[in-house]
Amino acid sequence: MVNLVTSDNESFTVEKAVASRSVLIKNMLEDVGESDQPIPLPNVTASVLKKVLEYCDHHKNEPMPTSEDLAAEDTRKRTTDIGEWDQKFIQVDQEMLFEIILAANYLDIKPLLDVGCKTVANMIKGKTPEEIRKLFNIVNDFTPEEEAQIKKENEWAEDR
Amino acid sequence: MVNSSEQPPYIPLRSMPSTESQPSVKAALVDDIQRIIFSYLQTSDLLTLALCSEKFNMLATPYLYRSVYLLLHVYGRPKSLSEEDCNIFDVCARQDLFRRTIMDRPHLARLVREIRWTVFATGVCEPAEYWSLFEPFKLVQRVYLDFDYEGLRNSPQPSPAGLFPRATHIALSRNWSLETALNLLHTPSRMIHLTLIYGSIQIPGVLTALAGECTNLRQLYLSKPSRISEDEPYSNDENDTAVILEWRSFLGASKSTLHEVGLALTAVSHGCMEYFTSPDVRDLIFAKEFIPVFVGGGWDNLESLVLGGVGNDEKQKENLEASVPVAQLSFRSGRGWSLEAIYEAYPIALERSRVWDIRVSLGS
Repeated sequence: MVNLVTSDNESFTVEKAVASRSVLIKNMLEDVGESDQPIPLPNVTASVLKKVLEYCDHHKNEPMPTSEDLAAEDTRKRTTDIGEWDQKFIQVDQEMLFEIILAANYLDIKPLLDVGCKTVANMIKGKTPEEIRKLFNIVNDFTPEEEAQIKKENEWAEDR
Repeated sequence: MVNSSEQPPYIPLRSMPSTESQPSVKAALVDDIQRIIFSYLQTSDLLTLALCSEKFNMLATPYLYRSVYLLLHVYGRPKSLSEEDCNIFDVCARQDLFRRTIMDRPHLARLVREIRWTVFATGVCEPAEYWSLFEPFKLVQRVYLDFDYEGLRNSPQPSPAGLFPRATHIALSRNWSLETALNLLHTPSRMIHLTLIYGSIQIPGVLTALAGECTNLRQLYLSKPSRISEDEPYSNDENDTAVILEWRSFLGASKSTLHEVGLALTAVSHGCMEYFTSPDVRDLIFAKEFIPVFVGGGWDNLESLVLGGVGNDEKQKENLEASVPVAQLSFRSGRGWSLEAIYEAYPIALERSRVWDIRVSLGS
């Protein structure tokens, strides 16, 4: 078992197989060897870690992606399809979604990072600029003239 | 390779920094994470993001200009090619819009890493200045130029030497001239991928000039039209033979570095049905000229071999499979290997061979 301590000082005890979905933790465990020392995670809060561990627990028996898999991933056509369980898992509010993405990035859990990023990409897809501004609380700092100019200079790339 | 410490050379429209503040979005949309998200988006969504705010414009613009697809046959989405997409006027108009944008804001050219472009006879500007359009694209790594004009009479001037100084992946199709090809393939030792699709006028000489120089070439795709019948009229025998011999000696000289090879002989049809009843001469060409090169050994790195236009000679296939056991072999047989199939298949081969990654190319 592995003991993880969050930034807000909550401690989680989980199976090694679950914690090792995080490449960061896996490497730490390999470096220190067998030890009862708790592992501090100063960048992750308890509410986020709980969620992340839920993901790790569900995927604990799957083979870890190898570096070849990751290299092949880049050459494949990028789809934003997400597995059924992952889709349900990632149905959280926006704040939590970004927290999970940041935690997955910090903990080095590539499949979870991808699920999060695909979810954000799917939120953006097919929307108008105004809808996206609303979605992410973005302030439009362009003048109408600037907006028209950006449209014009990128016209060549427009999807038909 | 791109210098990894290089900053994206994008200059925002206004120099005033944005004052928007939404901690979670801002935090999430940094560096690696933002790049992964953007890599899942299509052009239309990137355009939308670029219009949202100055900050998002700065983030999305490098992705909009990373790959420029202004290709007659397969621009945009090579895999869902439909007749309506092959609109010559639309491509010309977009090329013109693109040229104007680059002239107005030349720094955008430095964001481009990939260009797929159809060179038209009556192009977007005067033939003499045609190639100056490409001069600002110093950091392009992958170039696919398709030469649309019929014959060489209406062609623009040959390209100047030294365009695309960073290119590692180069594909040329149809009516390129020898001089243009050699000028574009100016640094053979840099090349990782080479695709040559020969047009109706087959010009020998390119591979002879490059033989022994392409010391890092990993992927080679060659395709040419071929007569089908031994006694077929209208065939340009002299060039036909010269190109085949040139391919053969280039293959022999490059075999130690090549990981992927594709060879295709496409059928030239003169509409004379009787020629389709005679034995296919392309089988003889493969058996006599190309198969022996592979059977001869020395293909230590070969992973994939695609032969197009070869018949269904089982013995030949067995022979090949025994000789290059490491390679994945695939045969596209006989008459089904049309010119259209080539145009579809080769850009996809180019697509598959992407070796650079957005994270590297943006200079993070």
